[in-house]
Amino acid sequence: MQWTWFHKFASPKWFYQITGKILPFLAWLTFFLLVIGLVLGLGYAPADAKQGNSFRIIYIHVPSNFLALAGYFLMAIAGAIGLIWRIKLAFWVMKCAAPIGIVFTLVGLLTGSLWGKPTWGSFWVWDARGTSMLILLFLYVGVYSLGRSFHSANSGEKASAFLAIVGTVNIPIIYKSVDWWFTLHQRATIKFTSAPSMHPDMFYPLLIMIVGFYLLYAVVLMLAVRAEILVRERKTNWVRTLVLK
Amino acid sequence: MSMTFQFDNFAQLIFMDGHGVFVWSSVLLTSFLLLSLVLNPILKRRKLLKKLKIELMGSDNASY
Repeated sequence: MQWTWFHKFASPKWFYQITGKILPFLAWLTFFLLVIGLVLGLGYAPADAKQGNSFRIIYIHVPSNFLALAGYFLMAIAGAIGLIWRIKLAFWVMKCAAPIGIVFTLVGLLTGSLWGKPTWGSFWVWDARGTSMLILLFLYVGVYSLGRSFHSANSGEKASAFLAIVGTVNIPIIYKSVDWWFTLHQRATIKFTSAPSMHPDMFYPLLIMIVGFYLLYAVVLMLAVRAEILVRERKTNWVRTLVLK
Repeated sequence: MSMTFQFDNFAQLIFMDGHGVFVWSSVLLTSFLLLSLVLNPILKRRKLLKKLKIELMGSDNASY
């Protein structure tokens, strides 16, 4: 009885309908947060004492890397749910999360590169954090292509779910890389356990951008899963009714 | 919190003491990549709905 919500959420039709209602609201909220965060970060936050204006890249670099990591966890958890409970919607979420994760990781790496040039004097440095993020990109690409390299969609989903789960060992490595190795990356400025070591005028725009990026991730994942649902369920009655409406 | 605008004019906002090229190319690159994540599934879904509609209409006529 108390598990009904779980099965309801596993229903593609229910997911499609509920996300259709949430999405317009969520999309506007995301848009406003990102615009406000970007304007404050690029124009109003004070320049960094040492790095000057190049530090403003933080307002994209940090949020996108947060989501590259969180998105990987989501993908692996969705894969695990798909394997354990044989829920097809969970596999579709995993499948859609892979290319989205590739893009967020790529954004993190590219903005890191553009920040590295004026700060460290090079577009790429083999430091622990950058290298472990590059490995994350390869893991995402692996999950993406493995899922599409089988004749049977289900075998591909199972294989990429396994790879996604195994790949989670890289996440704590990325997270701890700045503490375990000597790297050029600074240590975490935002921690759950203490106040941020950053001026509030710099910190609040970053917080807005992080929340905005989380919502953006939710929006693009919902959009992608909705499209996937239509492809996979195109033979069902509810999709036919929807199409002919 | 009293935040003030950090630049005197538009040219300074773009130039950012020489860092503008890095900051603004980050912004443009990110906007392009993330916007494609938004538009791609929207277009895919729209195209599919159109295709399915044509298929279903067609099969309705053919089945008779």
